[in-house]
Amino acid sequence: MRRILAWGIAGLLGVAVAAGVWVRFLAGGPVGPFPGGALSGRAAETLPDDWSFANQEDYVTVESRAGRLPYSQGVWFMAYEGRVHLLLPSFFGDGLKSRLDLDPRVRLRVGDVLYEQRAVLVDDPEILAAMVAPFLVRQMAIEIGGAVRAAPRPPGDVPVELWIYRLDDPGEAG
Amino acid sequence: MRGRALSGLFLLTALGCGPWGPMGVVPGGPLLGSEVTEPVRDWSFSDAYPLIAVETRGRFFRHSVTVLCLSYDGDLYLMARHAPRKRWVQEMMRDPRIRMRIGDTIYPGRAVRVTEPLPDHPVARAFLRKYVALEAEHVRALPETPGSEQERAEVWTFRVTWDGEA
Repeated sequence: MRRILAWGIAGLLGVAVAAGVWVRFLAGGPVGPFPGGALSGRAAETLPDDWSFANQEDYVTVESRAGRLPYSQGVWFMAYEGRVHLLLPSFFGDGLKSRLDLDPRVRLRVGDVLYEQRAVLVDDPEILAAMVAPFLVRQMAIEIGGAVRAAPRPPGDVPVELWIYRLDDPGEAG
Repeated sequence: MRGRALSGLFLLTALGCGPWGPMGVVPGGPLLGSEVTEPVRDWSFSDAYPLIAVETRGRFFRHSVTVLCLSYDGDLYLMARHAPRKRWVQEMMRDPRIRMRIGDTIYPGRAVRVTEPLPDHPVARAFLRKYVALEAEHVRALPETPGSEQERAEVWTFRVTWDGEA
């Protein structure tokens, strides 16, 4: 009985390791919630002037090469004023944010097309407020309007950060 | 006997419903930990936690996931995006008894979907304040799925009350 159990556990571990290797190196991107490696797809011939078309997607996939291995994950986003803005809530972890801070060059996949971009941190509350309104409608079915301001945090609250990165064309000055 | 117990554990593990809670975005099985027995009337302490774990009762197994939570006026609310497609939402609609891990403690509860919009949409305001750190003059939870271009945002809200029998 113990031998069967040991073989069963070893088999499960083997399957888990094989699945992890496949996702990380061979799958061509993230699989569900699991981050992946280098993205597969066809390279874009030109970069769009207006990224509003991307809003038809629920997520975009972003690949960073800041570490030793390519790292990719699905990301909430909003095309705002013609540019893709990545929205990275801190409760999803800072794996991608820390990489973007190390190396802003990213590869973006929309549909099956790959675009080279450069991520620039946006920390202007006015832009956040303007951009988050259509995002909230699209992702949370919440509509906001009128004056918008930063909310005070109650004592003892654990702040939830929402990091925003605008994606520029690689040649553009930041 | 011990062998059967180990076999059962192995089977549960193989089915992805092992005796542990969710790990990040990966769902899990029954929540383990000390359970509160004193009724909770004020859930505002949950605002200190961006994410909590919720355990639902499936037909055969307990299922647990990591979710966002909000408090308003002492009540606890759960919001589910893509709600009709979520297993935990379907299970909660079938059997409202849930268990939640908030911090290191387990709380039994009963989740009921909020279908009538509350005046001034306080839950939407609480979401905006907690997760986006913004306050807006006008906030409105959309009563139905937005148009076809945005049809993915189907959000259901559940109010959770203490349920010592869950």
